Amino acid sequence: MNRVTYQGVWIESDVPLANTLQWSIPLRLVKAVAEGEAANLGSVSPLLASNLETIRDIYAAWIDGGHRIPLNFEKSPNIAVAAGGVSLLFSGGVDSFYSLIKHRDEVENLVLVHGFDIPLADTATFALTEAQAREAARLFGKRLIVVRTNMHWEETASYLEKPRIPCNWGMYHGAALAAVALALAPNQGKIYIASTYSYADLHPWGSHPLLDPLWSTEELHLVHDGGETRMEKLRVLIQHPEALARLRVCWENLGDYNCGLCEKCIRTVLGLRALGVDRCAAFPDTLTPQIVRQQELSHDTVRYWREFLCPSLPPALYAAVRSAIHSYDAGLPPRTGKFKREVKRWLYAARNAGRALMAAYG
Amino acid sequence: MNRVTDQGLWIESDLPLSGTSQWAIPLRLVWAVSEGEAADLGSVSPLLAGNLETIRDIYAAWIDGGHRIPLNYQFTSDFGAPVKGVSVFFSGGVDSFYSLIKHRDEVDNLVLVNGFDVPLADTKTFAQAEVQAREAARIFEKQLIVVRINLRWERPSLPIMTNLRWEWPHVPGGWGMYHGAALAAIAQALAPNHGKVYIASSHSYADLHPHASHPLLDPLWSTEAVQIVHDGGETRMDKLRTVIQYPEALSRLRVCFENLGDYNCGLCEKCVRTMLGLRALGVDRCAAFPDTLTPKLVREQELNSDNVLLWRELLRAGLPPAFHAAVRSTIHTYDADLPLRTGKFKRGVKRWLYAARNAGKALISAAN
Repeated sequence: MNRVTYQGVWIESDVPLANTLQWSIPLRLVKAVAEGEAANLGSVSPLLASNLETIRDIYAAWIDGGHRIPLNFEKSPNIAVAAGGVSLLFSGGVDSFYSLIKHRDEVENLVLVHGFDIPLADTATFALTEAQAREAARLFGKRLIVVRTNMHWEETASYLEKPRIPCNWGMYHGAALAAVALALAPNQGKIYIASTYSYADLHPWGSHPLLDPLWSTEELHLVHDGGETRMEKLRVLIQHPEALARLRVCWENLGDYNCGLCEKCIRTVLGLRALGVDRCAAFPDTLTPQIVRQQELSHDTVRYWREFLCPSLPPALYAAVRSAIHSYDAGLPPRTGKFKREVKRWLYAARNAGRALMAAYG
Repeated sequence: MNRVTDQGLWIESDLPLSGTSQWAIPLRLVWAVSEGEAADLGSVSPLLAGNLETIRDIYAAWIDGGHRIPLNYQFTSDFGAPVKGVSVFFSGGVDSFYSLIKHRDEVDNLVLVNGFDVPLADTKTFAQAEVQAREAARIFEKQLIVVRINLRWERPSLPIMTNLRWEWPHVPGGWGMYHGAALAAIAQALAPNHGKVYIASSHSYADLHPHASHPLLDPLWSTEAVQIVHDGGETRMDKLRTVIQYPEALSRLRVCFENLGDYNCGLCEKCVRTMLGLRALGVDRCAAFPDTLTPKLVREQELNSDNVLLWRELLRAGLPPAFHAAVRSTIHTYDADLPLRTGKFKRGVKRWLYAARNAGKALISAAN
């Protein structure tokens, strides 16, 4: 096992890791922007150095209370030569399977990270995930690279403990992905990061088509891949049943591979249902209009739901999706069918109505 | 006068223009995405060719009813070596003055375009804009490059004056989506004059909504001969803070798109917003604007999703209390989806009726 460490943060893997500290620059830069202290970045390759100010400005605009802090670094005189090989950061979700299929002729390695969404302490969930990823790698004839890191979760902490990161994970994980990619530089010259959102949806997010490629160095080209919509991606995926059966979208880590109950599970199953896939081995058979209607959507998730509101859904599910979106739009608690909840809905509606009326005063 | 032409569209300038037709690719591509027809792009240099699919996907996602159309093109190795020289597109607004000041040591040329916001037929407004741009170029010791382009105002028809306003003809995807491609086309058509072009950003990094000139899109139009740089994701207030340190720039600001005869009308949303920013920074009087700013005028501005973020920035800028209240009221009216406050009785009644309608909708929504 090889390990690189910087100020208590480490990355480890069976494959060779970078022998400079350049991999830690994304983490140091984002931490400095979040905390408002000058960033000491040490030795930086010329290409990355030329993009640091832009990265700093973007993060300063995106992190709540971010600062355009001064950057201290030297341009590194010796530039390593890029290694051959192409990798893809692979979580087993819709986005990473889609990018794998899209670039199957080019990609050689799948990189699975333990310590991002799955806490280091949760070895059971990770073992299950790794087994499926290994299977996916075998099916597509790729090599699986497993990486462990304590960037997000302390090694000893129970996974109920809040992680210690400088800003929320949504913003930080882009820098974390870049750090893992740079640490793996001896294994590939190019690495794909599968996009989370489509080009229609460019709200601030740590892994972003604007941001990801800026972390590139002379040694390693980072590519943000696939601004297609989630539906377009699913449409490709269902043509590969072996991929579909191994989908892992759930972040709940409740023991099952996919819980089938959380918003992300429900939404993915809805998308599949809209495409005519009624049963998928990766998910328990939990989808009912009732459970759909109960989902509480957020600003980040509602866009997927709008995409999945397809006439090809069975009418009862279609109505349930519309109801969940409506509850979000109207600022109301979702429908559960319980009397108490219905009363709460009306109280919220009355409050919203009062606010709308009083707005004429403001 | 030199001119390059492609399918009825032309660009002309006193300076040498590109010898290949690669400059027309942005216009053809966006047109094809918008119309849903295969794009015939001719010869494309390898660097641009590597980015065409990404550009197509972005435009397809951004243009209402856009299509991921097939792209037909051949690679060409005849792309010419980049020449020395750095240009910045220069409209005379806050963004372009800021980028000029930021890169004043590097920039050689300012590129002023006739046919974007000022119609080709409106020679009077353009003459005024050109005089001020020439003056700015002289002060900062740069060369002014004047370019004319017919894409916006002569196709499909000549602009018509109605109600003293220019009628805006249709361009593929709407001007908000098209002008980035138009900037890229001009940058490439001017290839014999520069190796790098700055496009001053319109919005900050906090605000990346689809917009044709965009930090994600602009650099993708780069070729081996001309690198295109989207510059300055700073906020508008950050930019103004820099520009007010150059009074000679400040007095030549041109932000107004209304072309009502004055250099800046002082009445439109863009004029009012810019004057408010200056006021917040302690500039009470600026020669470029008429002295029109009152809290009442501020309250009468109608905002939209594109400009409301720039107004929210003003809330944190430290305006005098009367203006701060007026800005807050204008934003509130937008957020609450109500008709504007004008102080008139009839309008006041309409506001309450709208509010009652919104309240009714909010209450009934629980039944859905």
